[in-house]
Amino acid sequence: MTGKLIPLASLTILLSACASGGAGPGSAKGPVARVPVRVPASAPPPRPRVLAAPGLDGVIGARIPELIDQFGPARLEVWEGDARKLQFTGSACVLDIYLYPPAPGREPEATYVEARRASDGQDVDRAACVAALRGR
Amino acid sequence: MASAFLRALSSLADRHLLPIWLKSLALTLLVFAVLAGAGWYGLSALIDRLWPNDGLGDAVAVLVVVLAGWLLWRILALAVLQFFADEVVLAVESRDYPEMAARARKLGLHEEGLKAVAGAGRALLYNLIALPIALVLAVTGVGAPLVFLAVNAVLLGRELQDMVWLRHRPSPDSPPPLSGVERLLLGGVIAVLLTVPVANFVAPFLGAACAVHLIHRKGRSLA
Repeated sequence: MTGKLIPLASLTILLSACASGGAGPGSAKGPVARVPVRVPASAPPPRPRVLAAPGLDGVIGARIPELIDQFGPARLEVWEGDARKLQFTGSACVLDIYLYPPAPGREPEATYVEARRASDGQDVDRAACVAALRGR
Repeated sequence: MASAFLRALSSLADRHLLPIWLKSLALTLLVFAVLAGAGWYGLSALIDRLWPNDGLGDAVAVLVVVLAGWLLWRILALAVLQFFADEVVLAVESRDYPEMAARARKLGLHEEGLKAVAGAGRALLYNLIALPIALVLAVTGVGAPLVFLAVNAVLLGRELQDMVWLRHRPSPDSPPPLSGVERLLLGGVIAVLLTVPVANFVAPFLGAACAVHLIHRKGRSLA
């Protein structure tokens, strides 16, 4: 068994030595590749990724007035280009809702939700937080 | 305590808990069948080799398998429960304590897996330690089962409490919400139910739901 392995192993070592010896000097002498200039994107922005999770009906896909109807006035509204982030808070948890326009020029719709415990920022269940904030 | 068990029973009938219970039962049965089958095969092969053509070997095998099967079920069922604990605790809380559901920290798959393995390891270790004591007391008839009952009442009480408490405690050094007697009673009832055929399918979930009710009702009366 070992008698067969030793020649095989030494062959591998020889081959690898060949490969590294050949590539090393060649790559050092070659011309420096030009970095292509980045062209600003002319295509429309891609469609936002939409969070799919149970218990978030009425939140995902909702627009700002519909969210305020459910949760009351937002504590925080952050503008980020044509996207928005709204923050709603209760005694139990903090709910951050991210809204992106489904197509250029359209009103932003909620696509993503984050929920964390008000006391220490640990992750809590999104649907449970939504239910608690609605029930106030 | 009795009313917490009654509430836990009504939680079990909730349609949100049912799919979690079914998938956890299916997983427990599957792993149990694989491990028990392998154990049975290995044991009978061993006995055939040690005592060929002897009826005694078969009798010993049956005894060992029944005892090991009961221990295996108790360990597996609790490990699977720990593995789905985020969903189980949340399902009970969402119905009866929505405000607490929004405060429950999510452990995530990694931490739940660690808890499941740690709990199973602890159960195996303490039951193996109890085994020689139970064998000594076997002559008394009731002594041996009582030793296992006591060990598992303590372990289960602690495990079920922590399952809920891990998600709600303000800091790792907060005092436990249930008293020693409450934990022992909770663990004792579940340990007995885990030995009863059919009831042992529901016992872990009943224990989890009961722990949720015990801890949150206490929290409400304090608040």
